[in-house]
Amino acid sequence: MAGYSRHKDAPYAIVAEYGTPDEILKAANTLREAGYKKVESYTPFPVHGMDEAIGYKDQRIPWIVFMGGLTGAVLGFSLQYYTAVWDYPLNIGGRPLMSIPSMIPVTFECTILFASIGAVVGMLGMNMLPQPYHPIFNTPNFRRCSQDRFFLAVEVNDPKFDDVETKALLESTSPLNVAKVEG
Amino acid sequence: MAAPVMSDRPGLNLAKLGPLGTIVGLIGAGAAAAVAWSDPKASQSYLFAWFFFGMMSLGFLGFLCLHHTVRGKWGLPVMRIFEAGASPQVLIIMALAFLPVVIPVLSGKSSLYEWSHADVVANDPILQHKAPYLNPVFWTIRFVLFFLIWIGISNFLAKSTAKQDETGEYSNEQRRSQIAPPGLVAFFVTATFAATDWFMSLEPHWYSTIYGVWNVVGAGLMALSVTVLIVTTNKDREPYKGLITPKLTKDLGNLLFALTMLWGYTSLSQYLIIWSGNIPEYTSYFVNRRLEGWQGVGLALILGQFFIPFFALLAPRTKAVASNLAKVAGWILVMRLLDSYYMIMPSFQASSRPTPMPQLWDFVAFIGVGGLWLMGFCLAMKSKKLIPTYDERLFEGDGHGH
Repeated sequence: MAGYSRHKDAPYAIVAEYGTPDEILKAANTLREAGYKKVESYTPFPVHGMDEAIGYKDQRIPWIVFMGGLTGAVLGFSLQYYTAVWDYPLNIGGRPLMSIPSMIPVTFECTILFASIGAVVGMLGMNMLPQPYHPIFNTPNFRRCSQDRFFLAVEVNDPKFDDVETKALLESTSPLNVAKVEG
Repeated sequence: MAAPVMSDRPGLNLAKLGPLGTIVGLIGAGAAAAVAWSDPKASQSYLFAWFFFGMMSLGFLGFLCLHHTVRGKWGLPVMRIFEAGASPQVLIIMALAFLPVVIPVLSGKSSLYEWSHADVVANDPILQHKAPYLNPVFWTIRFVLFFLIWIGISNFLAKSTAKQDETGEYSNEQRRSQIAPPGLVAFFVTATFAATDWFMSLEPHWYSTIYGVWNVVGAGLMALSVTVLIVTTNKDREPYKGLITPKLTKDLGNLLFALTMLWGYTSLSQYLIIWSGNIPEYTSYFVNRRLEGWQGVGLALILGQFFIPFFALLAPRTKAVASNLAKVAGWILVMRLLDSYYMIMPSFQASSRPTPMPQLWDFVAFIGVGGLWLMGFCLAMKSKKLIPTYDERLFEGDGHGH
């Protein structure tokens, strides 16, 4: 979520590796209940309930999408109003220049277009993507994250982070492996 | 999540409303049907009432087929409500309740359908052209056929889940998932033809190809909002206690949201195409709905049936809190009622319904047919457990304590 502009070899996180979605979900719940805030999960496919398990409550994307949609609606409508009523009025079948029914499809499409652009750009921007380098890739065995392994990272900037305690807590959640990762 | 307040209310028993429904239904619908025999206005009221509850039953049938097709976990707590709402009991009662409309059509005395009068058809080239399809005998045969198909599907599905509850036999579930998808297709086709036969043909010169979908979506909204109302207002009572989680209300709320958008989409498509074409045969539908107060009703529906529920359901906190979702569902149901009135009543000659002002028989017929529907619903509920026990997914702990 945040940018990592630290110098090389600074500690980044303690990462635990799991074999099944149920295990990582359980571990994430354990961490949240223990009060950890900076927890990230890396899984081969979306794990249902993971956002709640890691305590993800960010509402910014829905609002960006909503504002994008609103902008699109206003722009789409004004474009048509400007061209059809103001700049180049044409009599089409004797209808009024400002014919709202005929303006709805374009207004609707612009709403969708701007909302989806808002979703994609907002998501990329807030994840600081594209990011050519990320310390999580230093995790041993991380290749299998796109195949059959599930990784849970507790980042060092978590206020509750403690080298020994965090590691012990993660080890108590029966992972396949726990590693301290540096970036 | 705060611990839910546990109340000691007794377990929910929906079947106990049965006697009330029976009494109100037999008296109200009986009186309305009797008066409708000679009074065209009362027969319009009766058809409106039947439209509301008949389409609602079809909405339940659609959801029942959908649930057994996709077998989603969200459908399990509400499946028995779908089952009862589209039960053979409800469907048989609704079919019988339609007889006061069917018999006059067969005897050529219907005040509702002008195409059923031989002398009108003889002087009308458009109706002559439609006569091979739109004639009283074939229309009645289709009416019987539609109900046989619906009762067949619903009877099979309800029997099968009851049997699986009893024996735990998984083969029942496999069989259902083989029957339900073709059932869903059959439902859409028959419901489209039924809406065309019974309601679009009130204005027999006019037609719209989206009318069927539009009605099915509206029916789905009615059925789903009734379902949501039942489960959200009884969430602390057995057997729903602990099952009506924020996750479930979110799923149901999203479905309401999707149907609301679909309703807006189909309504607008129909209007936009007719408006763009601007051809007299097509525009008659909206011309009939521009008189006096009817235009106001139409505008109110754009706002009330689309924009208000759309923005209300956009917010996650509406869907995650049962009492909020109940309010939205209630609002949608009221709007469906208004929309039903708006779809049926202006179809008749302006002399009989110049303004949207409801008349006495509208109320009597609505309460009466509603009572009959409730009677069927409760009869079906009598022999049902509200929660199916065959699917262990329903009882998986969600582990978060809510």
